[in-house]
Amino acid sequence: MNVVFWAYVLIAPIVIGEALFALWPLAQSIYLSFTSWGVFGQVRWTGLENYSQLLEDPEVYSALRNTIVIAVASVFGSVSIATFLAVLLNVGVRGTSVYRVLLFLPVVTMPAASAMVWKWLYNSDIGLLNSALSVVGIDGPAWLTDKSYALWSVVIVTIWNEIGIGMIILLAGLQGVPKSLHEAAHLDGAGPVATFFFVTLPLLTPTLFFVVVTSTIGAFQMFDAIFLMIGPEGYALDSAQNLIFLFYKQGFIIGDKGYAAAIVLVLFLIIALVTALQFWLQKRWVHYE
Amino acid sequence: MKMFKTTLATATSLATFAALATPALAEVTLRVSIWDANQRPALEEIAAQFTAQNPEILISVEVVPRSDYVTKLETSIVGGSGPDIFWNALPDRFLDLARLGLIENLDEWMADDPIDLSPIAPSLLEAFTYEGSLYAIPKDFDTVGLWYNKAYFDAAGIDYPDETWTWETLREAAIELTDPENNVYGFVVNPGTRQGYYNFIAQNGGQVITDDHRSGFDMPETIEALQFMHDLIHVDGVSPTIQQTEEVNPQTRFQTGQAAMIYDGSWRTSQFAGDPYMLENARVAVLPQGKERGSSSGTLGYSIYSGSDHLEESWEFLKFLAGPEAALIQAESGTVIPSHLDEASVWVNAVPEFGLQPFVDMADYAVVVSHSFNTPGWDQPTRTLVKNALAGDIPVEEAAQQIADLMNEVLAAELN
Amino acid sequence: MTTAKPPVNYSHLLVHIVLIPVCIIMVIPFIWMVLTAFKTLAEATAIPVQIFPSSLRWENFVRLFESFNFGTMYTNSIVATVLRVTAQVSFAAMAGYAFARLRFPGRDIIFAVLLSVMMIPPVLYLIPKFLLMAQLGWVNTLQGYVVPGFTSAFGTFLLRQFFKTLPEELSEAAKLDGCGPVRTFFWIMLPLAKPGLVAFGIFSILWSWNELLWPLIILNSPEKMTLSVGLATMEGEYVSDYPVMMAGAVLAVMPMIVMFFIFQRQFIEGIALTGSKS
Repeated sequence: MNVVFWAYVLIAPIVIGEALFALWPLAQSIYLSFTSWGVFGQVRWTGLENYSQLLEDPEVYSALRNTIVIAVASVFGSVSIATFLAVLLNVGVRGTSVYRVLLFLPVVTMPAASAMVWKWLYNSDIGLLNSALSVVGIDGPAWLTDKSYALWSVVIVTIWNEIGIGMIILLAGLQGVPKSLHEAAHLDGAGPVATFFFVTLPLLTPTLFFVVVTSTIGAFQMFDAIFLMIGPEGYALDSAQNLIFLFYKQGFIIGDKGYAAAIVLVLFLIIALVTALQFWLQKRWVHYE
Repeated sequence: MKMFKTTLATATSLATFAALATPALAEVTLRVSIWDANQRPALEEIAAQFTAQNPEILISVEVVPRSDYVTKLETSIVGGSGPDIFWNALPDRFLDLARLGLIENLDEWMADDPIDLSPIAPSLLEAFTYEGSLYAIPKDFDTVGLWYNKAYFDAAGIDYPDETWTWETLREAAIELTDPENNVYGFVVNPGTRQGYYNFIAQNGGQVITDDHRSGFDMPETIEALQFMHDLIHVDGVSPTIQQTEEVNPQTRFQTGQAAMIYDGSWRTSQFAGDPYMLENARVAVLPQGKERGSSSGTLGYSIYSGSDHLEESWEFLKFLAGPEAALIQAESGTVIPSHLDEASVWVNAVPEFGLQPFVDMADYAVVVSHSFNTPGWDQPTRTLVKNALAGDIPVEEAAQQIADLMNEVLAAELN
Repeated sequence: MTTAKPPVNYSHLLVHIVLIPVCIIMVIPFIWMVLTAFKTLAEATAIPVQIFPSSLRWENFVRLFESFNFGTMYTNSIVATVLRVTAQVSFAAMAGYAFARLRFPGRDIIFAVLLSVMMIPPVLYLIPKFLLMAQLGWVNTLQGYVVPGFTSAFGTFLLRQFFKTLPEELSEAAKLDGCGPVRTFFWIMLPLAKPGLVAFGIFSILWSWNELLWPLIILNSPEKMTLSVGLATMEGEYVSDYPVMMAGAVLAVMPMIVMFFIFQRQFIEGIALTGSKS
């Protein structure tokens, strides 16, 4: 009895905080999604109207497609690069801590600051990227304002931004893999590549799973990079905007908060489904000891 | 919505209670919300003078970035804690604020306590009138002019732009001044509204919203204006493309000597005045003429938030803001053209190098920004489609028709 | 033996050969930020690209403090971050411990709900959170800014994982010694959890320091603004002095780099202990 009481006391701050600042807003948004919300809070009940509008809105479908492309590409890109780097760092070469800090730098950089500098790097006339490409004879595109590149430019920045976190977590996971196993594999005549794929990787899967799940959730909600580099009025916005950005645009720029709420709830549902799917699939590839 | 009304009501009643509980002579701090950091010093000076005369009323100036200004205003007003006095711009949410009674009807206040509004241009007062009543005191106005870099004109031996210029002169000069080898464009087509198509449309006799509350984008004059902008980029090649302009905005290009001419507002003055290169080379002319003269004009006004706990004090300060001392301080700061036209010369002389008089002259034929109740509902998609047309993705005529259709839908829905 | 250098070093060399270019690519944006911070606007926008500033324009940094009130914003960011991180770490540790080690009715359901909170996009909270603050009269106050950030579902999750890795026998022994759950938490679990707390603390500091949207909405007066808001405010229609903005970015990022450099070992250790037992 005593334990139960104290358990509730210990979880009380978190439960109250999250109920007030997360669950209550979620409940309100669900309500909002059935209404038409004018500016300054005039509200009209419209039933399922927002949802039927959503099904017919081509912008929603292109945003959905972009959401998926961004999520898949950035998670795949960042996790695979992060794994590669973590394995290299785990070798324990001199200067490892310097490498770690350098590779982690993007993570600690304020999004507002890194977006600013990436905009300049991407600039087709005065940007460093295209100047570098021109040295090898490539005429680089307008990365952020060309509709066929904007989405991928955003993905690159997201990957750049995410590698550090994944790398650190995976590096931590690797340090939990016993060295004796490597030695055993070595004695069995396995080369470093084989050792990685047959010994290290399986033991790393629980950590990989954690990284994939959390970064997928983050990738579905990617907002800062689009907002800061392409902007609500960007020419290439249509080709890059995802659902969360469409929510922002409808809710805060056009001012249709009910429709915006419907969009974001659909997104929430997708994230929940994907996460559930990942947990269901983990049996097939994650090895717990 | 019930929830929000209750919230609003609770907040208001709490506020009223707090106001009743406050002793009458206590100091009051008014919150004034603006978005331009350049104008803060002038406003703080006005506030200091006001507080010197009214020691019990203090003023706190809050600057919110322009891109978040409306969002924040909306959020805070829904939450019942808007600033006491704030800048209202057209289009933003002026009509909604007035219709919903969220800002004070100033005619009602003036009925008991008249203020002299005669120094203010009538067209500006007109802009802030809703259903026959005034809801904001215009503090300034702006127009868009032709900023040019005289060094490039001297080098090419072309006469400086003046009031004889037409679209054709603009085009010819721009062709002459374009110098790809040195990365200099003759002109920059701005795909935005104020520095872009609102001017060209007005100059060609087109309209954004017609007098019978329909879209003007299917008017041949409007389409022709957009086509002219399109051709400057794609036929004459005198302007960077829309994509390039997104990467480096026109004013930065001009400021760094990569463009000989741009259309830009009088509000750009203080930014350029801080740059020695601009002081040396930048000059201003009236916009070239199309079929007629036109320049996009905007105005900012001070409104009082109806949910304010200090309506009386806010009114006192608003009166001061509307008065001659405030207008003079603002004019002397050189940031914006004061709504008191008598003080406009003070603004012109604040940065004599630029020759700013054309901005004031254009007030005669300036066209105030188009707006309706649900401006964001059509403005946002319109901007996108115009950009697509100017980028050459969609034929201009087709884009214009799409804009007209969607605008008509939004405008018709507003009337219900 | 003549083979003083074992072949292992060749593989080390290979690692360096791969890592050095990767690091350079990763760090270029940051180097560019620093270089731009010292340029004039004309140098920053020059065609062709000018890599190095012609002289170090320290004025760009001076301007931050003179015209943009950077000193005050620095202080505000530090105060808010300290408060939020302290609260986040303590609350998350308390709850993480309870979820990991104590049995109580509803535990799994409550925990599942908390996990699902991580999937809610934060933009969604903005308006309801503001309305709540307005009702409390906390708009434009420090508590209005920091209190909604006192709890973290992610932190609770992370620290729960951490507490789960601590040996069961410890709490058994404590119980036999007559320690209640609270004393066990404070005297036995918490000291052992230090690496986990540091790891989460660093995440928490990063988020708090970099947060933009909420302080922008809830704070009004210039003397209360934080660094990230200040940085965003600088990039406006009216002020487009990129080198000065870059100088601001450099100053804003510096403390985080220093912090990570100092604590990286504990950070990795902390994550290592949580990550492997999902």
